[in-house]
Amino acid sequence: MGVASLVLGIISIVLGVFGFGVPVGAILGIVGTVLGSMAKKNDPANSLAKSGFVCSVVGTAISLAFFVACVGCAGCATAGSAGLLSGL
Amino acid sequence: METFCINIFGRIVPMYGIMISAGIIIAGAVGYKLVIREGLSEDDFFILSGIVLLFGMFGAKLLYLIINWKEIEWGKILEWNYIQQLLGGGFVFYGGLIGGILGLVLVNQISDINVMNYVKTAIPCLPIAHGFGRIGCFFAGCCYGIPYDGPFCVDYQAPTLAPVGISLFPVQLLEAIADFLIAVIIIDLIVKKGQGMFGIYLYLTSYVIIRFLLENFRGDSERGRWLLFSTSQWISLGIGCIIGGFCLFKIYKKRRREKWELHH
Repeated sequence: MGVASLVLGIISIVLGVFGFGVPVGAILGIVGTVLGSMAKKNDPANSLAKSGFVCSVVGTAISLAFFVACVGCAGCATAGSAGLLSGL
Repeated sequence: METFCINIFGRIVPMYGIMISAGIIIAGAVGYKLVIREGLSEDDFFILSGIVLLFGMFGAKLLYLIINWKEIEWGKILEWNYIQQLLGGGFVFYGGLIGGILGLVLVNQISDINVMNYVKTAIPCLPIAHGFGRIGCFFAGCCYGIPYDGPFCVDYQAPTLAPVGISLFPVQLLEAIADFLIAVIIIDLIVKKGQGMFGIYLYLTSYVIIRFLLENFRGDSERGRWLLFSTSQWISLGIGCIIGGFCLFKIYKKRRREKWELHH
């Protein structure tokens, strides 16, 4: 689980930074965070799990920022015609 | 004001995204502190937070798509860019709340984590994250208020989702302030009294009342409306009735037990 968390965390950072598949990046980052926490719970000394957890949190934060950002820009450009950001 | 964006390594990032991320991280940090203070497991807290976030995102998106289903361009539904646009823009808070609760119920069923202990302790995370989200809305120009030219009115300039050149009521900031106030009051109570159901009741009751009232100051017209109220007002009413019914049931049970103890 620690390895899986690290892999998912790195993928989410890459997807977030390069801006493609950012919704997938955010989801992978959150799953990586959960797996990292589960691995840390089973073995508190597992450094892979700790690294995976940190990478996943960072990847989630970056992906979420860009994830809503991309559509934010598109929404700004269309100035309300799509009404995509008009959450309740 | 103009929609506020910042440039990070050549990429334009609107404050909406930054605020959502900041809200989740700060709420997570506050929740972590409270959980450690109560002697609970930090790992269980992060497992729960991740699952709640996943289910919450799914619920918030699903309710948004249901409300706006008429605006979905079904011909483009298989195009990757359109899917990204649909997935990224627009989340409905109440959908997220319902999704998050379903996530908690699922974890409670399939794991040995005592979910209620964590909910009771980390409930202030919800208004904190939500408050940051509302500040993001303010910067993006969405969820804007009714036309108003009194103190603190806001005048958006192009390009935003709000009408350009009309002074508007800053309803997003007012809701953010209310959220932060609720969070501070609950944290103060938890620090003084320890965790308890009061935090959940206080949050739900105060938020549904505030949300019901603030809906009257919202000026964005693309939102769902049925009969007299908006979708969010109906949901507020529904949650209010559930909390009210639950409290009455508890009072009834308590009185019945007192009567039984008196007779025996």
